Amino acid sequence: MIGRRLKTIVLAGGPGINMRPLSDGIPKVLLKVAGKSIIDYPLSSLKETGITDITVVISDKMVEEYIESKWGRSLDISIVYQEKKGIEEAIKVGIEASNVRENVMIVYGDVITSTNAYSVVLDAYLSTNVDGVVLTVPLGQYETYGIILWENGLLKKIVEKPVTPQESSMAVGGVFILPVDIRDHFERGHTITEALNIMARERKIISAFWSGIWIDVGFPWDILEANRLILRQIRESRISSRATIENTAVIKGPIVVEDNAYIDHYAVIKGPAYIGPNTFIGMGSFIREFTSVEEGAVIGAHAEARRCSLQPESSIGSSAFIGDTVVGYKASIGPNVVTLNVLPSGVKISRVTPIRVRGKSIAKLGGIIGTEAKVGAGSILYPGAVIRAYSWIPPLSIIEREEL
Amino acid sequence: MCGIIGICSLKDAVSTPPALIIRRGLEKLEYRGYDSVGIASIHDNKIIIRKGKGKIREVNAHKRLDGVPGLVVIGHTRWATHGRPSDENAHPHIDCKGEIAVVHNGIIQNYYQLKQYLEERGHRFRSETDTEVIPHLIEEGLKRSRCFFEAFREAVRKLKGSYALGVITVFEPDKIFFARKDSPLIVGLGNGYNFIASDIPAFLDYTRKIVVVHDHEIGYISPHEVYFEDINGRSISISNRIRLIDWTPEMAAKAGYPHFMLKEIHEQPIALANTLRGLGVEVEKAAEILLNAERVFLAAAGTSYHACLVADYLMSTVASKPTIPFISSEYKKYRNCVTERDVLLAVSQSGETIDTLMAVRNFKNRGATIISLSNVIESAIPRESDLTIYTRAGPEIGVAATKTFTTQVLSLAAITVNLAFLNGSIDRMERKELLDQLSYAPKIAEKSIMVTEGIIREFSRELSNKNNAYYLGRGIGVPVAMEGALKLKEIAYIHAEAYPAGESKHGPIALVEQGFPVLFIIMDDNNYTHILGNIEEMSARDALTIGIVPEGDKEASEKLTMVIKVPRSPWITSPITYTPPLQLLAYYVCIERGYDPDKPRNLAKTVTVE
Repeated sequence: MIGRRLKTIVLAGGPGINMRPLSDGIPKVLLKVAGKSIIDYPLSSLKETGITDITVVISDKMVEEYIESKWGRSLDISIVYQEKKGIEEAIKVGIEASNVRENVMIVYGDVITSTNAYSVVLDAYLSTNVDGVVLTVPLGQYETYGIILWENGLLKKIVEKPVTPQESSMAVGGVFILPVDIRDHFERGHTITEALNIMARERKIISAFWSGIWIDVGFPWDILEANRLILRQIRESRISSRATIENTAVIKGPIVVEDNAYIDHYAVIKGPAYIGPNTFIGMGSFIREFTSVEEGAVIGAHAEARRCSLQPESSIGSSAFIGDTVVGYKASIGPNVVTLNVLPSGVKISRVTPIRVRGKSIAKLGGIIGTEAKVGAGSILYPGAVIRAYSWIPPLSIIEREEL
Repeated sequence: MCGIIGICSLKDAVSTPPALIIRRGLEKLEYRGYDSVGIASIHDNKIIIRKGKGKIREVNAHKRLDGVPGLVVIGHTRWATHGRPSDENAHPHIDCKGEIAVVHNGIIQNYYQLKQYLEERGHRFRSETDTEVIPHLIEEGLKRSRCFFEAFREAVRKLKGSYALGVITVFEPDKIFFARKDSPLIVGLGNGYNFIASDIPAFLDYTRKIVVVHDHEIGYISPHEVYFEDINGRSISISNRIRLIDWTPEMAAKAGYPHFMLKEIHEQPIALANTLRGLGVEVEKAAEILLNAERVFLAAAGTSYHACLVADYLMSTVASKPTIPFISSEYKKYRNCVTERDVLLAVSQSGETIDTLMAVRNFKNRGATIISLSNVIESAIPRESDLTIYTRAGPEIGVAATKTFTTQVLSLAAITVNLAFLNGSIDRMERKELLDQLSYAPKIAEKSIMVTEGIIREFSRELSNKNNAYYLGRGIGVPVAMEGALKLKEIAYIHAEAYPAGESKHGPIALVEQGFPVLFIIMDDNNYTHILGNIEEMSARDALTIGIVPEGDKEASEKLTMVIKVPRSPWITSPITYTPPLQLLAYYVCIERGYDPDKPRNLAKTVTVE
């Protein structure tokens, strides 16, 4: 008698349209949050819970290469491509490829949460006699999610992206254990919501609840929130012995500094913050809380960054100020660029304004700088400004907020 | 709920004696019940039983459960539902000759008919439990069949209700027979030994290979064999049902929740439904006693005291019967004025709260009649009471009381409605209407949780940086506010005080400055306009105002910084609508601050020292 492990399908395909312009030229799941790619979060959690038989459904060759090199040795991962669009297609392809016969665990590749969130799903499944489990996460801004209603502890129905009166604040959390015949429902043309609703009627499907950190990284500003959630978990500093920190630099609070990072004289870094490998933190610069400087990124002299995500190989020119901003892969911000990150009153940006206090907004958003975009020296970015990928903004431009 | 466990082992297959493994396993199942415990084994072709009333630790100290010899051992930890906790009612139960021993989790619905049938055939019963019919039923079957398993199968087929069973017998001394319907049962596979148990953590230190038993399946384990068959007697292969468990033992009991507290908050609809079903003639009897009482005192501590304050409000307003609620430890205040015409209604979840017990004894000595409300059958306070009403919230593991509060409120409201009818405050129609409203409590609690949890999770972030908070309400909202403030203190370690909103001007408001959180319990009752004024006062001082408002509310919502909308509900059930969001708020602030809600510092679940 040999222990049978739950087969798991990780959904990491799809074009990530909502993530543009950050996802132009780079698959969404490879964007970085505090030193790890988005896809690393579910994979490392699955590994921690002891699940190793994993099929990742993708649609981009870059993802395959990345997973092979990073996870190929520690996990039994098979990669399969989805040809057609849609989550139903992805699950179908995954089930076929993994040759699973009974129940299958399905995991969204773009959800960042704790390992324990996966454990509660497994616990609920293994310790009760049910046909399926759906991870359920209560959300204040649930408008963009499938919403779960339950009755007597059992899943009653799922409502797709509700807009009208609130019946429930329980969102579908992107981790499921389901009978494999969900595939048959897809064959009949049902959507995932329809299939889950049919199953909820016919089978015993329960919710597992998660109350800790959780974010579905779908929109550019979700990267900032994910960054915040991960960085605040850093309890103690970890500084690589191969990093160089000049003796007049000041480092305060929990901070991670990776190999070959260079922190120049008079730089001040206030944690929690992440300074990736091969980064350069210029003289007299000021890196403030909840900032991630990912691999190979450069911060110019006297620049200031607060609550920012600098994607790999991006750069910020001297004396620039950026706040609450995501700088895309290989994007560059010229010297003296300023982002205005306080929202004027009345502006609503969904999923990034958790609490709206009348007359003033607590949450802030600076700019979103697309892949390989260049912002000329001295430009000013209004809150919520979005710079298209590969674009070039001439010096001294004023960029107002642009609809995505 | 009860917990069962059993092991069949070869000699020396495990280094720990089997009885010790079983006792430790029972400790892991204690969350399923803890009022009595017992162990049975087979040794020298005889069944040995040690069992008794009390916590596992106590019974083990008296009866040396660990010392039971034998390699085939079953154990049980009980949470009484039918039949009080006593040495006789503790499991395992045996047949007339002592050749069959049974542990059972569940309820046998047709036990009365079976018992009559068996007694007619000469079987002698030793306990008041439903379980005892099972060994006798098998014994009876063995008169006709020489095969034990066949007799066991026949007996199981006669049972109606829910069960997870573990059975040992001298006729097959190396086996444990099992059966399951509607109660959890897991088989654990070891090397030279096998287990059955109600839950995985019970044996997780010894094996990580498990098979979940399905409803209507029966079978047996021996040290080197596991046999399953279906309802039709066909054997089932389990080789493709074996699972390997890779997680920490503690988490399984929470079955899909990160913490017991969250689980228990979410269990409130079920706990309320069970409590409603369990409210019987005792409620009417209690109302009659209260009707004839000269004065009614209400005694409790902590959360239960807040339930008493709700009861006080309801009794005054609905039944025109003002009461005297007090905190149990202050019982001495009344020691000279209590008479035999008075009634004390004592509320204690555990039934063991020492302060409340002292109050009960004191009032009893003065001749007062004692009614108690408890969640633990035949615990100390119920034993010393003239009448007891039980909430049926099930065991509560989280130290912060959640589901026991709302079930207490529901029970007390039911008593009040009956009293109001008896003393003519309401007529038959009104009584029916109010009882109907109470019957919706489970639904209301469910909806209230489902709708508010998301927004509360978000607000908790803002609140987690604060050092103080006020909780304000009016009318029946005052005890609700007090309960909310207590929860925040208990698990989130934020200093919180509750006041009647009108009182805030008389002192507390002096502390309010920019960003000071003030939480309002806003109900759609005759206090609504007054509370609007209180919100204004706080807003004027730049307080962070958070309001729990009924759905559809406009006026108050416009004045508040943060709004939590709860479903509209009848006034009498409003504490049940408004309390779950407050429990959730304390829970999420606790999580946001990085504490463990299940193990608050300095607190114990049951306070048994004065």
